[in-house]
Parts: sequence; structure tokens; C-alpha cells
Amino acid sequence: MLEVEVKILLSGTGGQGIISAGEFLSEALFRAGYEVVNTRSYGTEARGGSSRSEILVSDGEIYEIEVGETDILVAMSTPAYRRYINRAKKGGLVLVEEDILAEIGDKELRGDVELVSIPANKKASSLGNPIVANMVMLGALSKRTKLITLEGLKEAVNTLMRPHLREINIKALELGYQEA
Amino acid sequence: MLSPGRHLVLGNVACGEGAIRAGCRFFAGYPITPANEISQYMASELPKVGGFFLQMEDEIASIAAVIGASWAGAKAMTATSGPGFSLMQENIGYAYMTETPCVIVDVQRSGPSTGQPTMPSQQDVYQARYGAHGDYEAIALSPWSVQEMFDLTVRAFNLAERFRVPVLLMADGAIAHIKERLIVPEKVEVLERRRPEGPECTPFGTEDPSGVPEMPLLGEGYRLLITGSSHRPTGRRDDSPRYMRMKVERINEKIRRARREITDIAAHHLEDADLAVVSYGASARPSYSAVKRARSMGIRVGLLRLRTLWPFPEEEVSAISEEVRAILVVEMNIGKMVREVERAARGRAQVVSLPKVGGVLHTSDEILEAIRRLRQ
Repeated sequence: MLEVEVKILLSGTGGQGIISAGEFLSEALFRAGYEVVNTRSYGTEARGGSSRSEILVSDGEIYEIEVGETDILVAMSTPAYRRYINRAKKGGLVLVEEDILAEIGDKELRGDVELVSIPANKKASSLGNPIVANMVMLGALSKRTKLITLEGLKEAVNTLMRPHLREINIKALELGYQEA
Repeated sequence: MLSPGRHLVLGNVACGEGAIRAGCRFFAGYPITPANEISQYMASELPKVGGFFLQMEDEIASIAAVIGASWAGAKAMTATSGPGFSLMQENIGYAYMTETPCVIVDVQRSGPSTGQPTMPSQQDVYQARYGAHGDYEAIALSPWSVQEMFDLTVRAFNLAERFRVPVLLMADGAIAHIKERLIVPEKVEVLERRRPEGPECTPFGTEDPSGVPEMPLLGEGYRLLITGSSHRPTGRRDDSPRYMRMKVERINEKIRRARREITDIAAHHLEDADLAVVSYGASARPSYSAVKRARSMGIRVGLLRLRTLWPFPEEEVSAISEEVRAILVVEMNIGKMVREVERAARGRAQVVSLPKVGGVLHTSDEILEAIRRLRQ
């Protein structure tokens, strides 16, 4: 039996909060008692380059560092979708920002994965700040995977975030949870 | 600082925490990816324990400040990546010559030059051994996890104090930038510098030709001369062949003689192995996964992980080469430590290199495939 149980890949564009979403999710999973390896990868640009956060989750020791094929893929930008869609395992869960589906052709969809469209940008904008789209996605991930509870994510936000940022991020988690 | 217990932190944060717990109270550095979180952590945490953080104008000044701080009595550290490590080499040579304890962290990234600055490598392992000028024996450690970023940083400080040398922590951008479990212990074992007690001292010499002299501090009242030029045991300049030979031989012998005390390996599943993988740092992670997968297929393979790169664990590798048929050396560079493995194996086992360049880690699939080829 291998140690690594669940692999998650969050992807998007620099500035979308991909790395911090990965940190929140990792912290929540870690607090729930799992072992976690969270890696980040980014371009040399501060904004607009590619951005990726990978999380290996297990109830035992983890030796791998990188996610190969992933059980869960979150894509928040079209370039990220195109780059990583083939990393999704057959039958895996793919959470996609709704705007991406409008941009890509039908041929770029995969029929052998559970593809879920989430209007993360729209929901985040409705809260007054598009930057929390990452949290909408995490809320959706919580609902769809049962890996981590919404409460677990909220607790990570409350612990790690500065007080004035907590409310909007918690609302974003809730909206994503409802939406999925 | 982190409380004792279980934390999810970056490798770089674990390094900073280990340094402070080992007694580091001075850090000087210049920003560079992927080492920045170490500086950031030291900048925020050192002042809270009465320490000093200095951002210098470049890496040359950073290592110079660290050497100065050490002579003023502080345990001192700097952190950088390949290009900055190159700039530091002249003063690292000065630290070998003046026998100045300090810790230098190189979070290796993909080069040469600016290369792929955000991506990991293990390309500086020879720079650690041969980067400075002159004759010296280097001590370089290689952590494979966030926990070892902490543990080996503590060890680096202890070795620096024990042998009065610069010690190199050869981390890599992969381990530096993962977040995983760190257990901060209640207490770490910390070694303090041996200092002279009487009114006289010989800061650069011992009766024993391979000894480590006691280290007086600036401002304690000793007549202290510190120079990178050839000197007598008292510190007085003297470039006669006799004194230079004595000095160079002693700073080499003090490390060579203690090789067994310093070298450190971890052996995984080697008891009954007829094949071995040798790896270190981040590369040892997918190597270990591959070894476990191969074992589940009935292949008798084990992993020898180098926690010290220098002094090279020659005896350990030599012993393995007598037990196994072939050794696969997995590293994130063009193939470097493989030459040391070949030298230690002396033809008794076939040695195969599995290099990787381009800023990416090996996958365990690639390593497993290479193990299967060895078997044929």
C-alpha cells in the first residue's frame, strides 16, 4: 500500500490566491489530523504568470513531494485548465471556474471526469472583492469531497487570517459550499 | 518563535526556527529566491530573543558581517542561493583560515547563473566542497524534509562550534518551499563554543597537530590578531613554509580525523538488498517511494541517504558496494555525487547515474523504471 491517499492540484494565474488557497486547505487538513505535503510553484512574475499549489494528503507518512495524476483538480484560469486537465485522474473531480467553460471548446472537455462548474468569480464579485474567488472554490471543494468540513476551513481562516479579512472569506467559503 | 509541538510550516521557516533554538543571535543576508523566507523569519523573530538581523548590500558583505559577529561572540548565520553562494566564497575561505564558526545555508536553485530562479536543484554540491580557494575540508549537510531543515540546522551550529569552521547547509528549493509537519522538541541539544579561561591563549594553534583551538572573543582583553594570511598559533603573521604547513594541515586534519563523528547517513531497507539507491535532499523523497514500490514487487532494493555530503560518507558507501550488485545514484543535477560513489565503490558494484536537470524533481515512476533496468 502506498502512503499517499489523496492528491489535490490547485491552479490558476499569479494574483488569484492559488498559493494561499493551498495554504488554507493544507492547514485545515493538517488540523483535522492528516499528514500533508503542500508544494507551491510559480513563475518569476508577481502577477499574471502561472501559479500552482499541490497537496498530498494521507493518514500516514508522506514521502512523495509532487502530485503526478491528481484526484482533485481546481482550475481557475483557462491557461491553467489547458495545462493541467490531463493531470486529472480518470473519474477524478475537476472544479472549474465557470468563465473558463465559456472560453474553451467542447473538444477540450473531458468526459471521463466529474466536471463541476463553479461561478467563483461571479460569487466573489457579489461579495465586493473578486480576490476571494479562491475561497469560493475551497467551499465547493469541501462540499464535493467530504475530505474537509466547511467548519474546518472556517477555523483555518479564523486562525490564519487577520481579523478584518475573516468575514468576507468565510462568506466566500459558504457561497462556494452552497453552489456546489 | 514556534511553540514545542506539531506545526505545518515551510522548510525555510523550520530552518530559521532551528537556528534560533540552536542559539543563533545574528543573521545577515541579501534577498534571493528561494531562500527569502529564512531571512523573513529571522527578521521577525531574532529581535524578540535579543538577536540582530541585518539586511546587507550584497552577499559579500553578508558573510563578512557573519564572520565579524562570530568573533564578537554571537552564533551567526546567513542564507542564500547559488549565485549568492558564489559571491560568498572568498570570505568562506577566510572563515576556514581564521577558523570562524558560522552557518551558511544554500537553498539551491536551478542554474548556472539566473537559470530558473524559482525552481529547485542540487547543482551546488561541488561548490560546497571546492568553491573556496586553498586547501580545506568542508562540512556540508543535506536535509530531505521540513523536520530535517530544523534538525540539521541545529546540527550545523553544533558542528560549527565544535570544530570552529563554517558549516554549509545544502538545502534545495523543493524542501525549502514545501509545507509539511515539523515537530518542535521541548529542548534541543546545543553545543557552546570552547573559550580560553586563563590570561594567555593561542587562538590559532594546539599541541595536537589536528586539534581545535579555544576561541577568544574580541573585546575580552586578549591580544587578538585575526588574519587570513599565514600566521603562527598566536595569530602573528608569519609566511614561512613551516607555519603555513602547520596551519593548513591542522585545519584539514581536525575534520578528517573526526570524519566518523561528522558523517551521517540513513539506511532504509538495505539489510537484505542486492541493489541500492544512493540519494540525498529532495531527490531522496521520490527515491524512497520508488524503493518501497519496488519492494512491493519483490525487488530487493534499499536506499542509502546521505545526510552529510561532505565529508563524503566513504566508508558507508564502500561497505554497501560490497553487499550489492549495483548502485543507482539519484540527484537533481547533471550527475555529481555519483563520482564520489564510484570512487568509494572501487568497481565492486556497478554504479549508474540517474541525473535530472531542468528545475524539476524526479518522479518515483522514473526511479522505479531505472531500478527495474538495473535488475536486468
